[in-house]
Amino acid sequence: MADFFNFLLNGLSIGSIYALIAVGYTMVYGIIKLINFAHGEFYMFGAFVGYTALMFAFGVPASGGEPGYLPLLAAILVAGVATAVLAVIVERLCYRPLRNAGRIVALLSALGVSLFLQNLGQQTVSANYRKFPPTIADSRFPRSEVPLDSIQPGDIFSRNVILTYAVIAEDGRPQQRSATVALAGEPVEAGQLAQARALAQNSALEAHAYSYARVTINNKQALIVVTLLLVAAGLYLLVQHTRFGRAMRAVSVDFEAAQLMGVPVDRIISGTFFIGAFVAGLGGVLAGGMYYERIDPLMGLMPGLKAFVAAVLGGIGSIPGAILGALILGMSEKMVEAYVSSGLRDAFAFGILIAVLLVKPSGILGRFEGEKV
Amino acid sequence: MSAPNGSAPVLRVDGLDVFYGGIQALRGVSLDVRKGELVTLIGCNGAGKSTTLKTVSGMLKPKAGKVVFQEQPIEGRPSHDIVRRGLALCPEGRRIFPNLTVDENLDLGAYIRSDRAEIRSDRDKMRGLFPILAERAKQLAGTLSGGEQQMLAIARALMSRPKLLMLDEPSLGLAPKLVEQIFQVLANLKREHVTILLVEQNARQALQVADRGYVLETGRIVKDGPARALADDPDVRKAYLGG
Ligand SMILES: Nc1ncnc2c1ncn2[C@@H]1O[C@H](COP(=O)(O)OP(=O)(O)O)[C@@H](O)[C@H]1O
Ligand SMILES: [Mg+2]
Repeated sequence: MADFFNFLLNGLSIGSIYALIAVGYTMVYGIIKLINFAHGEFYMFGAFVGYTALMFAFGVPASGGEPGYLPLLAAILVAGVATAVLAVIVERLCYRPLRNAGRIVALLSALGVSLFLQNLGQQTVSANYRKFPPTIADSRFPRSEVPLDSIQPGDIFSRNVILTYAVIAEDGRPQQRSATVALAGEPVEAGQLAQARALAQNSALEAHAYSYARVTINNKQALIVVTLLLVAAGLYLLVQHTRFGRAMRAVSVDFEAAQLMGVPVDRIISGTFFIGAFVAGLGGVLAGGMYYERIDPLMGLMPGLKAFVAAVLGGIGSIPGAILGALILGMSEKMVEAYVSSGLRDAFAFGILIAVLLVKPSGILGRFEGEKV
Repeated sequence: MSAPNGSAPVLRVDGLDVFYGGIQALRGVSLDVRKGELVTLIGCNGAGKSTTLKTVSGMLKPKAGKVVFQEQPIEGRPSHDIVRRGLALCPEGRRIFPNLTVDENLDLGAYIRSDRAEIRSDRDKMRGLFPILAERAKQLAGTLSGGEQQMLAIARALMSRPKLLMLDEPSLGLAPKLVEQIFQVLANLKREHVTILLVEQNARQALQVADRGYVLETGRIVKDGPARALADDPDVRKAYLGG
């Protein structure tokens, strides 16, 4: 049972990553009825900007270890803004001139932008994976510290006791490691305990032994979920309670009528791209960067497609729908991976897309508008 | 200048030619509206009435001709800029925002303004003018009936405090009782010296409430004059007033 909840929390964080991408997808669709296939590349771009910022500006401390939350936050903000600016430029150059050319034409342009950004990335920063610099230390919680000195051989703990310590890696920086001190329900072995104490003594950073709850969440996953909550609350306030949000909703149903009210439609559309891409860009730093620690120019492809599935599942055009769809997708995907087959995970996700399109194309929260004529 | 009050017209439209692709919808349309007047533009379905209003409000670009609003040329300007200058269009088919509440629709009408307190007092004024808007304030506008939506559309246009209000067939598709109500509202607005350009197919009632009128036929102005004179004109009677 504990496994199930661990999988669920894991799925929740993966779903939150999808959600950070899906909201931009759905906002852009909502306002100009364009499926912006380049949106996954915005996520990728954000991760690369975050990488650059952490490597060269808010660098890894010389003393080693992780830079911590503030540099990460700075990298997120820089990446968000840079990605948003890229999106505004893309809209201006590649979508706005085609606004009256029909939806298929705009869709093809979006595919073109997507491929362009992927290839541009491969040509400029190479197609290889690169390791994202360290951001914040890994930890799981709930947990409680067990002082190593207090443990005696033969003690029995109801939870695993794990030692967290650090060694000096090849690059001369400390790297976090962990070792088991005691297994749940089994007496502590003298040899193992002695070894743990030695590791702790020689640790490059301060070492701690913790006993973990059965159901835990990783601090990075938690940060992603919390970020999604903040983004969701922010978007809710923006869309429902600001002048900009009102204008956005008006443009999405009838841009001509909105124009007749004095709403500068082009600026509202630019603003929508800005916000959606800002969120995708910060998602790139948090997910591809901080969490997976691997970035490459194609990293936006799969999350972008999954986010698209999520947006359709929730009802494309609806922001709450996109978030709901993404969380459902992330969690159910994780269950398939855990209990059925990890090879079927992606097939399952795209199966959902086909099923939704066949059974309820308007999705969970969407209103079906039909084709606009 | 033939203006009764001698001032320059608020709106002067001069020799408009407008095309949809290769099809010409307006041929040299000229008209003017002076401060405080209620002018009506009547004509059959397809005559070019909506095309005229859309061109004035910047939604269509004329191929030739001038639109002068408060002595400034505005043809070819984007519509959001034209609204800012004080020219509001209450479009054909109401075009309220169904996914926004009644209050939000009114707030959007005041989009170009930033005087919050004044906006609120104007909203109260609209609620006085159209009590239904107070009753349904928090309801989605899409749930209103056709007549209620028309009231909302007019109120929304007024929220920008226009110097000229243009209305495109506000009585279209409404039950007779509601049509009466709409024209009553127009008469009231006129009494408050709101300058209005009213497009209607319902020529009888439009000419009753208006000061002056223009008759549009297949893209051309064929007659104009004081509303009373037009209502008595035998051709107009025959074509638009049922004999
Ligand atoms: N979007 C359009 N595309 C092509 N022709 C149009 C379009 N809108 C109107 N027309 C044509 O222009 C003429 C005038 O239309 P309109 O101004 O809507 O007339 P009215 O408002 O007087 O009923 C009609 O012949 C109509 O068919
Ligand atoms: Mg019309």
